[in-house]
This record gives sequence, C-alpha cells and structure tokens, in this order.
Amino acid sequence: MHIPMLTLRIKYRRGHAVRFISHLDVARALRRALNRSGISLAYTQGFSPRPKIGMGIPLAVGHLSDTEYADITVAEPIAPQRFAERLNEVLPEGLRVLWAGKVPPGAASVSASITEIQYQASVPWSVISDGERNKDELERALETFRRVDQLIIERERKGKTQRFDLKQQVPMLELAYGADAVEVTMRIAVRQSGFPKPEEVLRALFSLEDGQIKGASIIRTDVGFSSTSRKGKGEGGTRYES
Amino acid sequence: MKELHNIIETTLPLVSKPARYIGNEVNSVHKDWDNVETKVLLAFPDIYEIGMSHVGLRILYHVLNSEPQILCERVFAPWTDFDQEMRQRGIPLFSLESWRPARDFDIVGFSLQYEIGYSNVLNMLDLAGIPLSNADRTESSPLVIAGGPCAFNPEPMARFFEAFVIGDGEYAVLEVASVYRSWKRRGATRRDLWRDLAKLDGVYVPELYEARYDSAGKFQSLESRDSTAPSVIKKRTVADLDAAPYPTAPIVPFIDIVHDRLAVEIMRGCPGSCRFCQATTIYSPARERSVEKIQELIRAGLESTGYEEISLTSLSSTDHGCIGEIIKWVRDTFDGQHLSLSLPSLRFDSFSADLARMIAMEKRTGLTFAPEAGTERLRNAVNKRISDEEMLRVIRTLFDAGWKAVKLYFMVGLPTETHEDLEGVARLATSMARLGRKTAGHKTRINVAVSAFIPKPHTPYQWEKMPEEDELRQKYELLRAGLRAKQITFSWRDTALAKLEATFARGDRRLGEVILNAWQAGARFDAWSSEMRFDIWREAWAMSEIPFDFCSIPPPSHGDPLPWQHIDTGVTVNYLLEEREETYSGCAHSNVDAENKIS
Repeated sequence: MHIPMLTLRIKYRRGHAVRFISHLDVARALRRALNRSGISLAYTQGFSPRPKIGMGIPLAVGHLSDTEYADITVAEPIAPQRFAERLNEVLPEGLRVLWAGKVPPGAASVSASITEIQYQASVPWSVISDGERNKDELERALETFRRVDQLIIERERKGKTQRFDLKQQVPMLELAYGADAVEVTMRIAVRQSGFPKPEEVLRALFSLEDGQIKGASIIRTDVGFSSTSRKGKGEGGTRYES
Repeated sequence: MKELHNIIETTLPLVSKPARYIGNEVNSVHKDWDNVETKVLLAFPDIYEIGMSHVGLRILYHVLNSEPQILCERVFAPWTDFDQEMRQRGIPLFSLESWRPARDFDIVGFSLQYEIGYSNVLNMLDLAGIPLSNADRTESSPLVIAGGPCAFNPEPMARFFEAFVIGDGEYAVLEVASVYRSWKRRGATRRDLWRDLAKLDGVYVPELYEARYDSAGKFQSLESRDSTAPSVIKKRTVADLDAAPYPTAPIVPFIDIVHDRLAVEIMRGCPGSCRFCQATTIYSPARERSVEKIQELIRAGLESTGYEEISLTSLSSTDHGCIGEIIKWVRDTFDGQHLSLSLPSLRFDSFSADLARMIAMEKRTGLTFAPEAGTERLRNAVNKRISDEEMLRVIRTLFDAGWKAVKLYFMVGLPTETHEDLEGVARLATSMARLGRKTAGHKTRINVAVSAFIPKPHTPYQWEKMPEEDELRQKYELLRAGLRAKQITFSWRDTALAKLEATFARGDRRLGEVILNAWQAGARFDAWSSEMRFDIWREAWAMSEIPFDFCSIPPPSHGDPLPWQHIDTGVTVNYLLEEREETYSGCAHSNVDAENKIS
C-alpha cells in the first residue's frame, strides 16, 4: 500500500516553562509528543530510520520565542488545523503550536528558508547603569553604529575565530526606553556561514560584559523567509504567518 | 516563596545545564501543597541525569503520589557551579516540582545507590539548611531517611539518617509516611517518632543502638538502647511483583539522561549466585513479573511517554522464564513503529541465537556481557559458570545477527586469581575480536571494561581482603599490554576510587566522622573524576582515630563480629561460609591438577 507523504510546517511558541531547555531537547520533546499523539510519522530509509522532522534555526538556551518553526512529514492524511490541535493536546507546558500549514513537495527545508530573525531584548536599566551609562550615551552608541561602514565582531570557538560584520548582518536596530528596561529590537540576517547572536550585538553596542548580558531577557519575535525562492513558500502566502 | 522563585529564575541562566533544575517534565506530578497532609521529598545524591535513570526512584515517586494525602517531589545534587551560586545568593536546596525549600518537607528520603555518593548527601543536607547529624535535628526539621542497596550496611551513614528502609521500598515508604503522620498529629517528641519507626518491619533506626568496640578499637557489638529496637532487622521483600505498584506514566525528562527510555522492570533479584555479587543476596529471591503485566506496562508506558526505546530491566534479563515470548510480543505488536529494545546485563548462558535475532529490531546498539573472569577455572571459583566455547558461540551469533559492538565487564583481584586468569582476559577478548573481524568485518568493537573486585557485605566474600592499589595497577597494566588488538578498547576504573568504595562498603559507625571531615574539607561529587580529591579523603582518614582501614577484614575463622550483622537479608552466615569455602576448595582441584592426575 502506498502511503502519500505529507509535510506539515508548524509555527510554535517556546514559552517560559521551557526556556532553559536546548534546541535538541525541544526536538526530542516534539518527537515524543508526536508519538503520544498517535499521528503516524514518516521515517527516513536506511539502517537507523528516524522520523522526518526538520527543525528551524536553533534558539539559544534561556531565550523565549513566539516564532519557532518545524517541518514534520506524516504518513497519514491529516488537515493542518487538526494536526495542530492533536499536537497541542500532548505537548508539554511551554510548547504550543500556533499555526500549521502544508509544505509543497520539493520545498527547501525550513532552516534553509529562514533568512532573517527578529529579536526583542529587554535590558534592565540596572544592568545598563552598572556600566554607568545613561540614555544619551546609548543614543550616541546607536548613532555611531548607524554612521560607521563596518563593525566587525569576533567569536572565538574551539581555537577558531569567526568574524561577523554587524553592519552587514544587523539590518535593523532600534531602541526604546521603558521605565525598567531598555527595549532593543534587532533583525539579524541569517547566512550559511553563520550569524551574530543577539547577545553579541548587545555587547558590541553597549560594551557589556557576558555576565551582565545574562540579565537581559531575549525573545525571538519574528522570522523572515526567503521571498525570492519559491521553495520557501507554503500554501497561500510568502511568509508563514497565520 | 515568590522571592525564592525570582532568585532561582535569575540565577539559572548563569549555570550549566539549567534544565536540570526546572522540573515541569511530561508526567511530573504537581499537587496542591496546602491540601496535602504529608510532603515527601525524594533526594538523589547525584545529578539529575543519573538520578532520573534509576527505576527505584521512579517507582517510589509513583507509589507516594498515588496516595491522595501524600505529595512527593524530587531533588538531585546541584552541580558545583549551581552549588556555588546557591550558597552566594542564599538559595536553599529546593524541589524540582514546586521550587520549595527541602527543609519545608516532612520527610526527605535519600536513595543510596553507591557508596561514593556519601559526601553529596551531606552537601545536600547542608544546602537545605537541615542539621547534618540526627542528634542535632529538632522537631521542626524534616525526618531524614534513606534506602537503596547501601542501606544494607547502614553504619557509615548511621549518624546522618534517622531511619533506613532495608530492602524493597514500595510498601515500606507508605508505612513510614503513615507513622510520621500520626506522630505529627500527636505532637510527640523526636524520640517517639524514632521508636514508632523502629516498630516497622525492615526499618532500622540507628539512634536506638549503640556500637561497642574493644580496647584495640575493633568493632564488638551493636547494642539496642531501647525496648522497641529489634536486635535484627529483616529486609523487606515484595512477594508478588504483579500486585506491586509500578509507574504507568513515568516522567519524560527534557534533557538527555543516562538511560533515556521506557524502563520496564521484568524481574527483581537474580537467579544466579555469583559469589562476589551483593545484588544476588540483597534482592533475593528472584521474582518475575508476568508476561501479561509486562505487556500492560509497556503499552501504558509507551502511550503516556512517547518513548522510542524500551528497556526490559532486571539484574539478568535473559533469565526471565518468558523473555523470548516478551521480545516476540514487542516485535509483533509494535511492528513498523520504529521502536528499539534494549536488554541490560545479559548472561551468556541464557542468551540464544533466537534472542539475538529477535532484538535485532531497528537500532542495534551494543550489547553488554559480564564474564567477570578470564578463565573457566576462576569463573567456576566465583560461581559464574560459563565456558569459553559457549561465550564464543554467543559472540558469533551476535556478529552473524548484525551487531558490531560488544562490551565485556571483568573484575580484577578476585579471590584465588592468578597470572593465568589475567592472561585469560586478554586471550578471550582477542579471540572475540578475531571472530568479529572474520564474521562482521573491521568495524567490530570489543570494549573491555575492568574494575577492581570490591568485597561487599552480605556476600561470601565479605571477609576477603581488598586488593592493594599497587597490585591492582600492575594487573591493569598487564591487561592493557595484552589487549593490543585494533578492535579492542580497554577502560578501567580508578584504583583509589575502588579503595574508597571498599572502605565505605564495610565500614562501621566511626566512618561517619571521616565522611563529615572530608565533606567539610570540600569533598563532593567523588564519583566524578573531575571533582574527586583523594588528598581530602586521605587527610580525613588520618585525622580520625580509627585504628585500621576497612579493607582487610579478618578471615571468618576469627569469628569477629561484623558491623552489618544486624541486617538480615534472609541468607545465613553459614551459607555464606560454605560458598566461600567452595571458592577455595574448587581452587585446590583446578583443571591443571586434575589433568596431571589423569595422565
């Protein structure tokens, strides 16, 4: 019997209750929730078959997100809406499917389709003024960032140095001043070669130490899909917003 | 409460693997604190990943939470980075489920799975703000108790635990909770609580006894100081595993733990009687779960967890009378669902070609066997009766069925061991590697893991001498030289750690002071090579006034009293003596001698 394969893309929330678990932990939790849901999954061929689940761009431990994506190939016909409902019945607290849609055959993987990630970082004034900075200084720092042609940051990892030009890879950066915290909105361009972390942008912008940045709360608020490639599109729209 | 939550929240981003401390896993139980009379905290003196891999902890969590008037939560040892942050910020040890301080619970019950975790027990009590010694606890402190295999020689930790549950805990924990409840309602003294607990079967209350030593400092006797304290404490044994409670919705951890799978205990105890093995006596007799019950637990467990792997656990899973039937059922029932099946602790003699083919489901992870000794002569002496030919036959079957890796456990320093026995290890592993190369190609792996023989209480070898470290190191070296084949990997357990384990295993009450001193000097996570500091332990030992170590116990002919003789496993000393005798008499008629006589 031939079972038609159907790939569904879900957009899900990673909330407070699961913010300290890793990307791999989320993948595992999703797989086990799918098993509990009883929805029949499609598996890879070969010596050790795995369910066909494609995860989106990894989210760092500690971050929250309203805009995570995963592609799941199922081995039974099911309407996206019903799929989302059944998954939500069994997902652990903190994980919640917000939207589901069909992915056309031959489409690029969800991780390859994401070109931009928007973050909202909330940096408490207590952290900012720790470094004896005020609003004016932050504005000047932002002004400088807008004016320069290049702002290179370096990341050391396993003896290798990776460089990112923030002018190239941070197409949007805005500050808003709340009573308790400075709200930083940034869009980061995703490249094959890698991309800067929101913490690295904050560090470069505000000259903060790593320990201080850990006091910031960081939320992924939006994700941009490639608009030129037809591959990234689901049914009925260029972006996977419901 | 709210304040503590906030401090924990802001501290977790600063530590490694914060998910160890968050709880909230699928199937974790969250009860309303204010509407439950008795609050129990299950404590495991190692990290989450290890503690959550223990079936016993999961059973007790299920048993206690099944009672409407009891709430049960968990706590594990915080890793050193979090420990440091907790102390700096004044965060007390807290439970996973409700993030409540451990000291707010009524009962804190530790699981003692291995002796090397003792310093962590003290560290956790200290982090909790609970007085370490029984004598210092007040009516407002939680009742601090322990269970698990180490409770079979409770003496080294006797001053830190108010009660030990000896043996199977399923029913005993409920009795302890019930005694606690009526004591609390009565509002009686701590000593009344101890006396009530001592009346329960299988519960040992050390404060009601006094240890006596002779003028040379040797252990003499343990005297009851209270009419309620029995002179012998018989271990608890659950007779009918089918009737015993077992989790049908086990917790599914978020993080990758050591054994991240659905564990279904198919048998308790072991039908074998290897003479070095403590599990044989403390878990005796061997009891099987029925096929129907196992099927029910697998179905319910898979449905509630979504696990993709099942482990049929026991001390020797292939010895279950219906193991073939169970495996066949799993294979047929879940065909096409991509489940993998694992069987820990296999025995060569009960492993068949049929089994090998049947567990060849989706994933072929390596299989583990424990020949323990390198020659048939020594295997017979320790009563692990299996021939070289039989082992090679099983290995061939495995390679034929598609396995690529086999792990073999051996012990070094067993009674009557000779040079020849060590050479036997190398010979056996090398023949297996050669066999693997021929039948399954160059990718086959034989992993040889060696550890030191450690004489344990309640075994025929409880009077044996623990081999010296130098001797062990020389033997490891000899093995390493013999295990040069490309397919073989060789690993061994630290000799100093083995020595420490041996000391804890057969120590008496006075060892408590050494453990306390070592913890005060900074000992914790001693089972972790990155954290273990032997200098601390050596110093703590030197500071103590114990006139000898516990690694050389006098032979049984001396008739010396043993510090754990008040704990009754149901196996008599006479039986242990006879078994020990067989080891040595078997040795006198070794195969070589017999052959010489015939020719």
